[in-house]
Amino acid sequence: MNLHFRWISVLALALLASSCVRGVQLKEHREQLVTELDELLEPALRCDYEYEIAQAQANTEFALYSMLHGRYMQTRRHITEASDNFQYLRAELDLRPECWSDYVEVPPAPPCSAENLEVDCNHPNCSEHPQCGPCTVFNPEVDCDHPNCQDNHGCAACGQYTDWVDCAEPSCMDDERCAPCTEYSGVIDCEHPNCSDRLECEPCTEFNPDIDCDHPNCADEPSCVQVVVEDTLVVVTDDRIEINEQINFETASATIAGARSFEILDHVADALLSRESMTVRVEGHTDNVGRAAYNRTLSQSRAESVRNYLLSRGIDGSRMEAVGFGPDRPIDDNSTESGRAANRRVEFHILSH
Amino acid sequence: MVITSFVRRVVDLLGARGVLLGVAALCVVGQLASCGPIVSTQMISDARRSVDRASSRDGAEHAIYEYTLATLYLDKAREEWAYNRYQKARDYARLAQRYAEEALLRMEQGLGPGEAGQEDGR
Repeated sequence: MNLHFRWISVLALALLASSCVRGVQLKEHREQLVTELDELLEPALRCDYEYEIAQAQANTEFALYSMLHGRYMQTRRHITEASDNFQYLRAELDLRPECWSDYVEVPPAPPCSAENLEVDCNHPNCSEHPQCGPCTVFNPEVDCDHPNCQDNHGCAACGQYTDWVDCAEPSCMDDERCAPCTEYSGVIDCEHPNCSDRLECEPCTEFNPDIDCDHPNCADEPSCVQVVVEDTLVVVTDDRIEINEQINFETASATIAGARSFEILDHVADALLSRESMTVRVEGHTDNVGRAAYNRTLSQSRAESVRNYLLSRGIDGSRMEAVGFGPDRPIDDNSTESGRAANRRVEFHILSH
Repeated sequence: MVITSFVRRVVDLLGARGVLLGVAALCVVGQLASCGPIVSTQMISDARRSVDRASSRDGAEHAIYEYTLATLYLDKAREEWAYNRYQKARDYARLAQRYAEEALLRMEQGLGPGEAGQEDGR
């Protein structure tokens, strides 16, 4: 009997202790719920969680009431439901900082350059600004005015990366070295890189196998210099090589006499040398003194004598023929001495150029 | 027969005046005992009408917080009444009516959630 009484007493004490512990726990829960309600009511109403906070508030109220009347099972149920309500609300509200009373709305950042006189690419609103993108992001083609294109190869100064000027490079478009030959100087400047293919800038005979004395670079050519000499002793016209002084011969002979005569013939030889396709006829003439037949023979011999001298100067024989006309083609009056002197002459008639 | 003899014995013991006082006292006690369910029933009924009015004006949409509390408290009042806890049933019925009226006030005046309670000073 005593044994049973002891066991019953122990059991009663255990139950009493257990209920005390549970009571303390529930009281802590209750205080926690009240705190949660105070904290979450306003944010929840601000952000339209009205139904959820109403549920939580009612469950909290019911839990308080049940605890007050010692109905622990009911209290636990309401505490659990209220806790679930608050947990859900807190999770939702944590995602929306604007619901909380201490939320300070961050004013939108000003436009990219509103507060920056120059575009500041570190500014949060400047990320879309054209000047802040990579060189060609906003420009399909390289825009060298773009600040980020400064290091672009296509934007480098003309010749910056090469030892030569590449006129296809955009930066070389305005370079003087890429301009047409005479754009800046007005005259052909053979030092200009674009003048190299101009005829005036080529060496005298590079493109003209024959020396063209009209070529500006042929002025120093010997054959062209000789033409200038012809102006004083020998003049090449359309049909003749005219000599300004007479070629002299020994009396009644075909032998050329006098250094001046050879000098004249040398100039004639040079004129023929510079015109390789020219053919001439060397004519000998006399006055009418003496027999005509003799004079014709003498003039023929003198013409051949001149031709032979020119042959000795390197003129091809096929380019020259010698004809003696004697007294048959006078150019002056044979009755006077000066007229007869003029009729005694050697002429060079051009047969072909 | 037994009752009549019992009444006579009581009248002899207390006297006629005493019997009358006793009967009066029993009536008062009885009245008080029946007052709980009657009053709470009346209050719950009033609260339900208020909640119905709020519901008919779409309180569930336009005054969610107040309307939800009103319905929850009304349900709880009925539950407490069913367990014969009339005092608490009255308390919850009072709360249900209060929130139902706040829901109506909020909808009439276009107030924000919880502002109707502040408007009427509660």
